[in-house]
Amino acid sequence: MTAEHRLSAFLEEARGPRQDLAFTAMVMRRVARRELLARLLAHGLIAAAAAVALWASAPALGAAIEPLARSLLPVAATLVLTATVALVSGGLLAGRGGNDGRYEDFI
Amino acid sequence: MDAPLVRAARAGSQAAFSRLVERHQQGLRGFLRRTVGSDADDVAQEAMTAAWTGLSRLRDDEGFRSWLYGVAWRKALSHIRSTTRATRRDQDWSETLSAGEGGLSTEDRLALRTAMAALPADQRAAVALCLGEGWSHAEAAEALGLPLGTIKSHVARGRDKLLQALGDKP
Repeated sequence: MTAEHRLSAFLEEARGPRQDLAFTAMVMRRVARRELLARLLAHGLIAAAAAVALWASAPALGAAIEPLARSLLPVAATLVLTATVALVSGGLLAGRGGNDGRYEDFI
Repeated sequence: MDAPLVRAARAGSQAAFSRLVERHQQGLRGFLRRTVGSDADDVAQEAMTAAWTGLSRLRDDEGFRSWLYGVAWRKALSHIRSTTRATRRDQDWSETLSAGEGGLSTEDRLALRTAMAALPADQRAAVALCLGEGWSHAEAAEALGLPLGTIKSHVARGRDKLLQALGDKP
């Protein structure tokens, strides 16, 4: 075995397996973690910016929305009343039907 | 060869990047084992994660391999420069090679390990790429960010030193 061959053998020793799924999985886990952190940071920054913008414009927004809210009050009250009546009457009708909520009753 | 996968990975496909990792892990880890030692896998993982983040900076998609090795080499350099880790590296390097099955005698392995560790970092990297991985001088120059002439002399001198360690006169 010549010195050249021994040198080649030495350098060849450092080569690992051609396929190493565990290594690839470790890298991809790091990649996924980095992506998640980047996304969380981006969303956090957006949320913080939105919060600051809302806080800064709160007085102006309040002044703009208040008259609109007053004018919509009767409509909102009517909607809430209608929804409540619908829910209550729906519940009563279901109770008369004798449905005790068992799985077989829905088949 | 890598270009379609690089484009897909840049568009956000982790599956495509995973294929790139599979394709290049063997060579990259081998290169880093020869230059960094047994911390090679940590450096390789860091390099590949950095490559994912920095894919948008890669201009030539077909040059992914050289670029990846360049990223890894910069990580390896900062690792090597850490003196506390350097001591550990030499010990680990020895352990890594002892576990190998290259048909080498213990004396040869020890002599080559010592000679390899004594090479300057750039020279070691040039030897690892050109003699260990079979890269051309031009490819190694691109990956390591060194002039072509420097790579040629690094490889020649490094090879001579390693052969000398085996008792062979250049």
